[in-house]
Amino acid sequence: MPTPPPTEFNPLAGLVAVVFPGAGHLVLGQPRRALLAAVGVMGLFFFGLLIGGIDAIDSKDDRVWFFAQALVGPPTFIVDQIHQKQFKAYDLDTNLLRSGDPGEHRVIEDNRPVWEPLTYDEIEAGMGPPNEPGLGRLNEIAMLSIVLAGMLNLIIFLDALMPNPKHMPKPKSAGGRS
Amino acid sequence: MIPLAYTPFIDALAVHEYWYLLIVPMSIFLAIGYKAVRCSDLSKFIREVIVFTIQVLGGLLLLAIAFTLVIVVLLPMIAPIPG
Repeated sequence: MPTPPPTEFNPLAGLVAVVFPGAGHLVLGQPRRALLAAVGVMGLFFFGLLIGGIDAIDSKDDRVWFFAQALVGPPTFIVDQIHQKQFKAYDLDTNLLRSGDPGEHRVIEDNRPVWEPLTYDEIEAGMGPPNEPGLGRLNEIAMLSIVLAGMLNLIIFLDALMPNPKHMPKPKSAGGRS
Repeated sequence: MIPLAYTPFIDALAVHEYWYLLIVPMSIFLAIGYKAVRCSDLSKFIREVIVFTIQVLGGLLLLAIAFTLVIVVLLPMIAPIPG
């Protein structure tokens, strides 16, 4: 059995790979691999958001899922922050931050977002919470898609940190042979 | 039915009847990302992505068949429902 090729440790590529999926391979001089890796990870990420909406990423209500989703990197944290700050509000009875139910709308009272019940006419006029959360199996599939994106990004990160020498671009020879 | 006020990436998409079809684009994206770092020769990339996607979908189909057999055939034999 042949000995596997030695792997080089590249902390810079690993660090850059944490910032955005595939960016580590750009540092390694593999732009095509970088683009394909980004398409795979961000494709799964945006597909999850398309299916489940912004509710597919929720660090408060779906904490365990969020741990794996966080492996995608900054995109997950940015979407989660937008979700928590722009789409959730406090329940007036329980004082808990939550997503809105049909028949409620989000208002700011004393610099604090709260859910306020709507009248029948307001509901008829199309008013409601700022987003419609995913339910049941679709919500699970959406969260799973983003979890898969995170786990895939972990593989891509490890490949950037310890690149396979076989995948590295060959240095151009000084003799001018093409 | 998709409501008129549907906003992509904000609201959930109402595709409850076709949930099983969602595995296809997920498998394709997974194959693209995985083969981007595992394919040694990128000239064979598309072929490897297609093969990997078929392997994932085939594996899931076999699992679905196996679990269906367990629930529909095996389980009623082991523990029949009285009445």
